[in-house]
Amino acid sequence: MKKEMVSLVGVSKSFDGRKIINNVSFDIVQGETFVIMGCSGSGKSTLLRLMTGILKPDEGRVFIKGKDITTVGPEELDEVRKSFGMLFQYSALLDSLTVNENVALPLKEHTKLDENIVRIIVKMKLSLMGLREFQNHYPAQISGGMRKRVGLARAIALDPDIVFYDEPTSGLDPVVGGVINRLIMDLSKKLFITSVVVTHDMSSVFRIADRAAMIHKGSVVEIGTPQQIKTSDNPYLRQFINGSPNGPIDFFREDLGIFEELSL
Amino acid sequence: MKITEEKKDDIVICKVQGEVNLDTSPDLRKKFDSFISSNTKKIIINFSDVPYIDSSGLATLIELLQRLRKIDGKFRICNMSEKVRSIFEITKLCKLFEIFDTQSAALENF
Repeated sequence: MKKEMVSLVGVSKSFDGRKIINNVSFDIVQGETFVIMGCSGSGKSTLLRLMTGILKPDEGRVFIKGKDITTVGPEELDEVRKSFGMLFQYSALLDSLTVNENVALPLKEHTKLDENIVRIIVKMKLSLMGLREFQNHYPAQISGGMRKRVGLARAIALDPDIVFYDEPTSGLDPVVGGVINRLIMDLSKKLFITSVVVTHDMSSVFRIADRAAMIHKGSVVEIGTPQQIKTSDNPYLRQFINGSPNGPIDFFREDLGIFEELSL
Repeated sequence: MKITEEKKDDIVICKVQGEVNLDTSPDLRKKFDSFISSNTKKIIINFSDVPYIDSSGLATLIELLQRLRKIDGKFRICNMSEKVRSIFEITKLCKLFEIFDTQSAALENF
């Protein structure tokens, strides 16, 4: 039986009295690529923040490698964070640092490794991402796809067991998006890294997921393999896959407030 | 992690026990420092009891290779588990290092 790397048990979170995440539970096992999909505002990014300890749930528990991160102190949470990496939506590179320096950051922050060892590790990670010749460039001097790859090199600098990806292919053309998807798959299949990917890009879901969960209004409405997702008759899922404006996912409510505002 | 060493003529056989990771690789590096300081030019690293090596461990081995090449020295690695060997293969480092199945094979013609 594979080890559970991330587990959510009855997780709920509200902001200003509005429930954004509603009683979510699932397990993600070692080496699995688990995709969380949903429309903008569905709560998937909040879920990611809950899983990485950036937010604490109002109810429920979040376990990372068996450790309940909702009850640990800041020091212990820091220790848990060393076991996972994160690729941010806009890569979150520091513009004033070179590619090399950006990737070296977590190694300098979290370890006492000698500078020469750090230098070699950075070269290894950049080589894995096909970016070694750009090591002395600044983020502004490279393309969006390259910045994502630098962000990924930084996310795996500490050899994490888990990598969280926030919209890894958003803003990229299909080919570069495909490159990022292939890197995610390589890390998962070759280095046995557990991948948790938040996305609304359906082509990514079918290409990289071992399992996927569809989130709507903070609840899981479907969970399954890509094949199960493809053939599901869940109306939310069907609407999302087809990109249809008509269906149970309501983007706009009939706004009659305008009449009141115009004193009609 | 535990490191023991044994000498056979001008060859040092270094046996590593335990994971080579962010916490332990600095100790391995210190041991390599002592080999270089004592002008050891032939090293065999026995990995029979190493269940896992991370990037910091691999970087430590790369650095040793860099340092030994400067003094016309060399090292060989032997007795890797399948898991550790796969890490070397994925990272393509098996092309860089001399890797042997057994210690006796590593000692031959060294």
